[in-house]
Amino acid sequence: MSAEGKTPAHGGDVWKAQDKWGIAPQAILDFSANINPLGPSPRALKAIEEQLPLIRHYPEPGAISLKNELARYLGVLSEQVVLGNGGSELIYLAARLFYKGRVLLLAPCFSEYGQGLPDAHIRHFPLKREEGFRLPVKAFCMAIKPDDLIFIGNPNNPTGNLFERSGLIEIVEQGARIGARVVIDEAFLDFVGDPGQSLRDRTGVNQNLIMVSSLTKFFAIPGLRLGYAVVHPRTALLMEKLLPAWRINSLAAVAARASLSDHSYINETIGTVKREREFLQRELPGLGLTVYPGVSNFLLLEIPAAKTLSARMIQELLGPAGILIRNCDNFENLTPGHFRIAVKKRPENLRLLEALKEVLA
Amino acid sequence: MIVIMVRHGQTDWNHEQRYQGQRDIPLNETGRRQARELALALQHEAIDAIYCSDLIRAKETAQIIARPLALEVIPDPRLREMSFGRWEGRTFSEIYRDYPEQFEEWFRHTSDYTVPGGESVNLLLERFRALMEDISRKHAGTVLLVTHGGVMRSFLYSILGQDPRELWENALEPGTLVKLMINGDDIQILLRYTPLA
Repeated sequence: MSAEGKTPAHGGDVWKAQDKWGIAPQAILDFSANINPLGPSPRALKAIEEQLPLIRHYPEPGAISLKNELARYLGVLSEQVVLGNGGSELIYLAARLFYKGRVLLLAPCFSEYGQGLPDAHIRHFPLKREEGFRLPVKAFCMAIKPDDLIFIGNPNNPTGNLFERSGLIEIVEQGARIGARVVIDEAFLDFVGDPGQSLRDRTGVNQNLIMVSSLTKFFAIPGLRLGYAVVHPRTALLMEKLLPAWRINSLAAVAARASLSDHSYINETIGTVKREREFLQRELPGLGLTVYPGVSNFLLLEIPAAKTLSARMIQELLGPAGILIRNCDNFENLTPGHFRIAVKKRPENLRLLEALKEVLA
Repeated sequence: MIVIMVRHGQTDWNHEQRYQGQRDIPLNETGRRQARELALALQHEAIDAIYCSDLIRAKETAQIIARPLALEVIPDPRLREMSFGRWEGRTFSEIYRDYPEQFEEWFRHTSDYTVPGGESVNLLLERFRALMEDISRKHAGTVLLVTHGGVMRSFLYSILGQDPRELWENALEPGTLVKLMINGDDIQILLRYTPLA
């Protein structure tokens, strides 16, 4: 299989990189996927090792023990939690369940929103680059039509900025008034370290609100797949009906339960990400790159127009050194000069800065 | 109306995972600490009245919460835990060992099966609804009910229309607080909070 000239549609495709540059996945410095730089919690790894023999049995139906622990952790009822084999399973489910003729998205946004539907009518609401991709709440509310299915990432991906909670509540309430559903994707919110920004506490009130999130990224278990939705219990009943009982594998459940109880790892993650993000935010402008104001574990960057260099070309230059970035030219409303990098640990960040310096010189 | 439902704090039997039902088991130290934590969490709530089950674990939890709010607690037997009859005092594995058929039957027909010497979920809900009607006639504001796991879960399942077989699966650990806005069939979940065990 040749991957020549093809950009992965998502970050984290170390398999394609292996094909293309002949580098083993373990040796790749992957800045294209936004995963906790500390790797999985040591407790989770230990629990997986101990529980490995479990794989000869079917998983617990509905992974109810994990659901109960997660519900308590999130401060919602178990009846409000729907687990998924990755957040993307629930994003696809929301699309199939609630699509009634139009999907309304921000541009740019995560490319999976509105996928899983044949011939979906997708409308993009452009965010302005010169305004730092902020969300103009009033104008967005005006754009909502009855029956719309809206997806909003908070923080938004790939821009990395956080939208104000009050503005999002206004959008949810406007949706409730005119009969539109709003999916808020908080897959990267845990890295911000401010749980008060979450809209999960509103899901018990606003039945048109679906909060989806992921344990994959924060707990660094993307290979195990684990996501969840928090919704009104009535919506949860509807979603559960369409999902198979054994979608959460035993090891994912074991790893997640161990991770949720690892408070020191959780705190260390938030601290490391903040420190390293701020370090990159200080250093990157020195290389002549525009850095958009991110608050999570990744940053959107732009190569100035004066450099006749595209993100695609930068990837080609960094690839042989085993460094992956996320070229963002396939995002609506971004340019060939945009790319995204994950925030990693200091030694890796230094290697990236060094490599970028050489490429941009 | 706004209803805050609280499950009593931990008892030794909770810790040993014994079915308590209507046996009168007091809070343990963890349970008292949980009650104090709930009192702190609720100190700024505008609460009209506090009702509690007349079992000691609920009454004591309610009294600890009531003190800073300067309210009297009103004990009412209709808030008692479901009676588990002959199963009370035993752990799940002991019950399953001694009453395997009855337990299976109870699991399959959770709403109307009467536990040997005890109560069914439907009977429990009947007394609970009678109390709720009395309360809604007397109070327009927020009412706090200090009660039990079985009562809270049965009520939630009945109002949410869930599969009764899942009734016992969705955990509400001791000390769990759930704040609800109830308007006929419409229910909003405003808050869920569980103090550490």
